Amino acid sequence: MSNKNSELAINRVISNSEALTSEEVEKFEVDGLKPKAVVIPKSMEEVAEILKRANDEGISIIPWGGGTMMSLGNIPKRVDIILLLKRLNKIIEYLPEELVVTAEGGIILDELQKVLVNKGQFLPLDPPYSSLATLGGVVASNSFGPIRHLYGGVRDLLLGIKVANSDGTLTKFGGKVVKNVAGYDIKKLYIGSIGTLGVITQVTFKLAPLPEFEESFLAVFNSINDFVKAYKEVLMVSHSSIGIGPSAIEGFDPNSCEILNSLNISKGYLLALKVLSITKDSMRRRISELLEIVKKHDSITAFSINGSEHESLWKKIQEYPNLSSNKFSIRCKISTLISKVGDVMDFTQKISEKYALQYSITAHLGLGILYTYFNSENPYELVKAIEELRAYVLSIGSASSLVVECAPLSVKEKVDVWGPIRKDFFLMKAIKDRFDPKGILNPGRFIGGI
Amino acid sequence: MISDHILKELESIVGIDRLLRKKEELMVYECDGQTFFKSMPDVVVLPTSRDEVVNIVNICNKYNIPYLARGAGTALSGSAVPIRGGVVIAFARMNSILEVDFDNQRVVVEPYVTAPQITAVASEKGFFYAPDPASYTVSSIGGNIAHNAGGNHCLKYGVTTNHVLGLEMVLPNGDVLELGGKALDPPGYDLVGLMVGSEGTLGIVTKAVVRILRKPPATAVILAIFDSLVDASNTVSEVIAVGKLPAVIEFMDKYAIKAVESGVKACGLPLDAEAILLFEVDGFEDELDVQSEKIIEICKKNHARSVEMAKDPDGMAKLMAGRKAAFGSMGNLAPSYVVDDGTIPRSKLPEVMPIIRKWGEEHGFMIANVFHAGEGNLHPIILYDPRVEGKEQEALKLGLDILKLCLDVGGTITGEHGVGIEKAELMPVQYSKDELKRMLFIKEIFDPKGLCNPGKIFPEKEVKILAS
Repeated sequence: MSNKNSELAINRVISNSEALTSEEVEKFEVDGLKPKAVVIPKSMEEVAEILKRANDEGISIIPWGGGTMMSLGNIPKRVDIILLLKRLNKIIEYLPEELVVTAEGGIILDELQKVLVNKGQFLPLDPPYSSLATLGGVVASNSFGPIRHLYGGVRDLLLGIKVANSDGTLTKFGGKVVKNVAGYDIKKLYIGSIGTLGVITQVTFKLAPLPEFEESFLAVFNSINDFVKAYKEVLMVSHSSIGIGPSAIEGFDPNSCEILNSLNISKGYLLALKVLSITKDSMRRRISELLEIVKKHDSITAFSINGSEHESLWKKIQEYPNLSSNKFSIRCKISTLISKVGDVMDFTQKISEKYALQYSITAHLGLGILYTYFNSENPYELVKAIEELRAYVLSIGSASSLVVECAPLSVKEKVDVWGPIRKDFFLMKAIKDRFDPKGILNPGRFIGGI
Repeated sequence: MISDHILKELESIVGIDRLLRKKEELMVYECDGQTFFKSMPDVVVLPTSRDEVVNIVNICNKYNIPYLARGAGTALSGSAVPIRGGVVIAFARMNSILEVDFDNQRVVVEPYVTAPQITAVASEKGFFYAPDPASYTVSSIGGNIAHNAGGNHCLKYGVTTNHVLGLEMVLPNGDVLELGGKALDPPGYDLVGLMVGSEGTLGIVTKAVVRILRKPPATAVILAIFDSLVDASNTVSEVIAVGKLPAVIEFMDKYAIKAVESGVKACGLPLDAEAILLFEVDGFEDELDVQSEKIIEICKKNHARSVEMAKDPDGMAKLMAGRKAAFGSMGNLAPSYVVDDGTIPRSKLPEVMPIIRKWGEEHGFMIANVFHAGEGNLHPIILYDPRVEGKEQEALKLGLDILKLCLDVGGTITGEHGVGIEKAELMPVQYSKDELKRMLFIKEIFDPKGLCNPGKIFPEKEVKILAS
């Protein structure tokens, strides 16, 4: 399409929808690519209409929630229209006796939580940037935080979804009940699919009651070996039941444990738990059990904190992945075996030293998911380090993977952020081709060039 | 009919001992737990390995023969019925636990392993496998995965899909795929999530990686007796709203009580009560008391006639005995019954329960209700005498009407049994044509020849219209 034709096509797609001025559009970009227009639909039906017109005109659409995970994905093939979903921010239904909420996809997570907390409930998802992230974006990027350990991730909590499709239809899968096996579980496909199959306009989530008592338990170790032995034992004895199990079991290397700066303790490998209980006595019992375990493995410090200190610590942990607040330029998500977390930490340190990278590591220990952060002046060294780390992770097997979640363009140009495809990829490609035949949704950003 | 040379080819894979073709042998495979739908397979094969399954599927492909995978045959919707004949691939010989990995809290199993077998090996170090559908002592993990089975404890611990992380499957084109695995979040679309609950229509699972959880330290059971259906129903919503999430909330109405108390396994439940609620809570000893106190308080506020609690194994078993005996006792009331599993928002229980009672009375049916109230997962048991002309059809129709009622109040036609043959005609009521179209895209992508468990989930008519 010539520039002129493409401009006309974009105008036809926008039609009567509200759009940003060209000055405001300047603030938006995906991997350095500027959109030709930014549109702000006011209703789900309007989203569907825009998609239909875009499909007819062959114009690409990039859905945008809070914009907090826009770094996720390969460099898009095209960026025509960004669809800003912030106006779809209504709660559609919330009955506390259902322990379920239905809301539009553009609602901001923290805004929703404020309403739920008033009724003693919450949506048990604590992804980074929760003050900006939208529910639809959380689903599309499969975002989560430390408490996935106890409550599960988006795939465990999402009950229903409404999606605008590229053919202009709106379709709903799942529902608002906690058990539902009518037909294929299509909603699962949208989780973590970064908007390549449809635009998420509405979601229904299972909620949880707020915990009765909550404290942090922290232990620092000098050696990685002691740390690994301690976390493995803690995992073996930790309950996985809402109300009585710890909701988070996190690990930090000596670089990321700066999170504890305000507590003024020595650097080392940090084990941090969010301990829950139903009574005060059982909290004391749990803390003393944990103390015993970590002492056995030669912790250099171990203690518990509660109240506002506890809360602000977990806010810092939740926001640590935010690259604008730490000094790193790259964030990798590594999913592997729970038992291999220590080995991956160890390997990351070695590789960072080899290539003289600045680095830090955090881990959701009970999930087998680590985040490694890197920085270097030299993009070539970064690329080499990522490739070596990925090869190591893949060699573990058991579906282990490394996804580069954030990286500067100089790195993204040389690395596939999702890594190699597996044998099941042809099914994924076929699904994409049937759900979005013209490939207008987020072209090129997902796995295998989807 | 399958010709002799094809039978020979199948025999060359599994041998003569593991190929069934005599009528009396095949009859076992003509239906599942929902006995209204019957259809004989042409042949049953019992593979012992994934490679045998691949070879069987390849033969079916070559000669365009329909096939389906069968576990223990306890499905309640006709999903394991070979409606077009063909080959039934019975998994009874693939029943090994392949790996117990405590470090990673995963167990790897073949499809015919049962949930209690997993829990048995897991309990060695204090773990358990959570999903526990009513059939779980006999039903296979493969079948549980196909139906995304629920159970009593899913209020707190979730359903099968939450506990299955990896699958090895034989795709209808004969490819062997590894979907997911022990690690979480493999990049790409969640095909494991898509396979779970697909009723064996997208391919055949030959291995599964499941999650095990640490067993709660202790449990307590509370039994509350009510004089009103509505009071019992309101209690369920209030317990959920107040933030005490029990592991179990089960509901039995007066006909269910009558069924139990008329039998040899009578449990001493009061025959004049309208409903009972059973709760299970877990935690440490002192935590059990705190949770129970609140639940007991809510029961009393809602006019419970009596509330009893037990923390010792014998006492708990005694309180649970009625619930456990309920389904098996229905024969005390009538020779046969229809049971569906529509699920409704929990707050709609006070509205829906009296309607079901009323409809039963209007049609002259006794409807007993025993169900997972915590999830709003109804199980109205419509009792009838099949010797009375037309009663069976009428009971089936009333069952479908109740499912439509579930849809009207914002629910679903099936919470855990699956659609199978039985509820296929309601799929176009629950879903729009655009929604069904997307499900059929998936079927076509995985099974372009339509040989893998055909005639399930989607009504034939709809499939044709949407395909054209």
